[in-house]
Amino acid sequence: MKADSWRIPFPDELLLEEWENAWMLYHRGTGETHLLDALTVEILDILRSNTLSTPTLAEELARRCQRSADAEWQARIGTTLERLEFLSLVERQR
Amino acid sequence: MSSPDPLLTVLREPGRMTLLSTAEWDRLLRMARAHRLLAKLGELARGEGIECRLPHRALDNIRAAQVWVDHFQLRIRRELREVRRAIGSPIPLVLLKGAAYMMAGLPPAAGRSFADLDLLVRFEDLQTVEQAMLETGWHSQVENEYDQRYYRQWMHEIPPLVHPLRGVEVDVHHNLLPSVGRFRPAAKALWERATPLESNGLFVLSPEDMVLHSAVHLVVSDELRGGLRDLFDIHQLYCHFFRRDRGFPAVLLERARSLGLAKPLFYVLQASHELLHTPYEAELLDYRNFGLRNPFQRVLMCHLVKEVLRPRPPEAAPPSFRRWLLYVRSHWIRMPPGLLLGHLTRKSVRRIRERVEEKGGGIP
Amino acid sequence: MTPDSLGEEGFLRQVRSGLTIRFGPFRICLRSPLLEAARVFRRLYPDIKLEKDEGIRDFHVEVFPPSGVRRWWRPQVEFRLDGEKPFEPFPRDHAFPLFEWGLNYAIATRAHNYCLLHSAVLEKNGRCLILPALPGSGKSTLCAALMLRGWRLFSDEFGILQPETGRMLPMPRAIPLKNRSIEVIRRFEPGALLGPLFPKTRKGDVAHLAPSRSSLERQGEEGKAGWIVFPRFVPGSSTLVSSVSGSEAFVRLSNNSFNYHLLGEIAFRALTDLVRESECHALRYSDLDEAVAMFDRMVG
Repeated sequence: MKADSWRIPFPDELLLEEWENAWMLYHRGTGETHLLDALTVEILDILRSNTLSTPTLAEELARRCQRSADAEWQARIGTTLERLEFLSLVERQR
Repeated sequence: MSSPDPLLTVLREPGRMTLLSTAEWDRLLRMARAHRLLAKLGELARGEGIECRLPHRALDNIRAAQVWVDHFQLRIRRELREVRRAIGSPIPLVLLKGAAYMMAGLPPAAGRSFADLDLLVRFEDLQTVEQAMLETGWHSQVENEYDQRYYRQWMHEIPPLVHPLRGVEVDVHHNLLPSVGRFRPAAKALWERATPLESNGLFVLSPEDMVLHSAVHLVVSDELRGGLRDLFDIHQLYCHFFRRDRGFPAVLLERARSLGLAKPLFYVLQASHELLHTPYEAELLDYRNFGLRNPFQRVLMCHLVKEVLRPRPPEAAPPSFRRWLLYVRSHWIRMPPGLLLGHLTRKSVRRIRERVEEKGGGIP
Repeated sequence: MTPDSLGEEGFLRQVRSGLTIRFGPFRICLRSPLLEAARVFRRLYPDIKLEKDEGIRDFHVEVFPPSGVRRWWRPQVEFRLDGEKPFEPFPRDHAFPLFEWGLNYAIATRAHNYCLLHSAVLEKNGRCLILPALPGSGKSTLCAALMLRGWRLFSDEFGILQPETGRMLPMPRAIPLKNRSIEVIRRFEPGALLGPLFPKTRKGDVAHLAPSRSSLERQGEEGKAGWIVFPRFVPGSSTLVSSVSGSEAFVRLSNNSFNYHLLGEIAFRALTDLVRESECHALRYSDLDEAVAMFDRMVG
């Protein structure tokens, strides 16, 4: 079975403001504002210019964070992506 | 007869905004707000390149209204995106009214807010679309089984759907008018001429059908408050389509006849011609082209539609549907059955909606 | 021309036919035949400059007894905004609170050319102190106390942020003190100019504190961002200040705004700039004098 891929349909719609320990994101597509942590911002940063499957994305993130892409990590990334999908920030491609 | 009504004056000739006194502006702003045309004034001024010549205080009020409009347009755009995601692209959708003006970039969209998202789907897709939306979190606004049946049997749309997190009402239609009404255009004919948008699977009605839909909706709707605004939509649509295609009046007339919508079109064209000075071609103002055989009815209907749509001064109370009916009755007029039916049907649906909202099934 | 200079008779006549006043960026036309409400207005705003009753008014407000038979056995008053009646009638005695409250409603639902924070705002040395209204903050009491100690009142209810310039706009009005804080402020400043007590309004007992004369005179002068302080009244607590992160201040301010969601990106940018330019703190207090002294130290 092929894994789902993820992408950001309109990257220009994301407006990020960095604060000392968090990020505020305004999403022009939905008109909503979100408070994000560092990992989520990394995910959005990578998906801005790539369409990636969950495992590939998890590996890239693990490399950036200098840790191993074990099952627990994969699951964590998967959950975050689903949350981002629920917020209409990323889109799933089957 | 024609009192210097500042709202009609600037809708006819937006350039006159620069000539108004501040007292006239005070009156204009209040009237425009009551008719939900405040942000529209800003768009008209921008179109004339005179925005910077308006009084500051007027601009402040207009900008405030524009913020409201932008927000509601964003809500509708977003809802459309969610609907498309929910049902997948192979099913074609025709956008109606506001969403159509907005996505097709037509003049009525500028400075106008839309509360609902109206869609037309093919009758055979209706169930698939409804099912997909219900599965993705939209709720039907009508829970009562009897009302549900009423909708499905008599109405041209399924009971409105609302996603509880977003609160936008989505009206999924399979035709433009109720199955019981006297005016009943064939949905197939509408699909044949629908214009595709760049975006895959999205359509809008053809220019002539768009004007017809807007006109018929205006005549059978009981939302008199929004009436002048809807009339101005028609004014702007007509001017836009005529600029693009000089043959548009003939196409519109021919289409109105073949869909059986000539009468309501005539009343609305008359009203917009008289109130807004829409520059219609002569063939569109000649009643003989519209199959109106009863002169008494024609003159009275034209008068009624026009008077109901005429903007009211700021100190007047808002008109009510009931008062209009009284007005009609007081003239011993029997409205054409189709028109009256249209009203009553809308009315009963509204009542159903209100009942639902009272039960707590409304927008959170 | 001011309500004071017109004399009572002249002023009442003016209110009956239409009175145009300026509150901050707004021009309001007020019409009312109710003598008592007009008298309270005159007592609380004796020095407000009256404008010519013409030109563009942002709000046309009428405070009138409703028509109908009820008026004979239960005197009531209703608020009309440009001919619309947004609320149920109030008891007749509460006409003045209804006017103030109704005007706030009108501003909050209409003035979307501004980013409207639900906050008290005061100014000193050109910089603004923003006190967001949160349950249990005691913001009105604090605001009243600061004004009585020389801070310039911008507003007890609205932080009016102009998104194009990032400036805060004043709109000094009478401060509605509720229940216990009426007595607290009387004790804090025995010379404070208070209006009559309105018992049992929707918000409890209410008495209005008049805006200071200098606040009204300088209501055209804008202010820059300065401090955002989230106050919390904790009985028996000492005065404690702690710092608040920018993101937290942003979230709390935006949640506490009247129209953040309507303005969308405009508000996101304006609030981001406002928070970045401000020092953000949380304050726990129980003693008003100590709290005021703390704010004065903060200004330096």
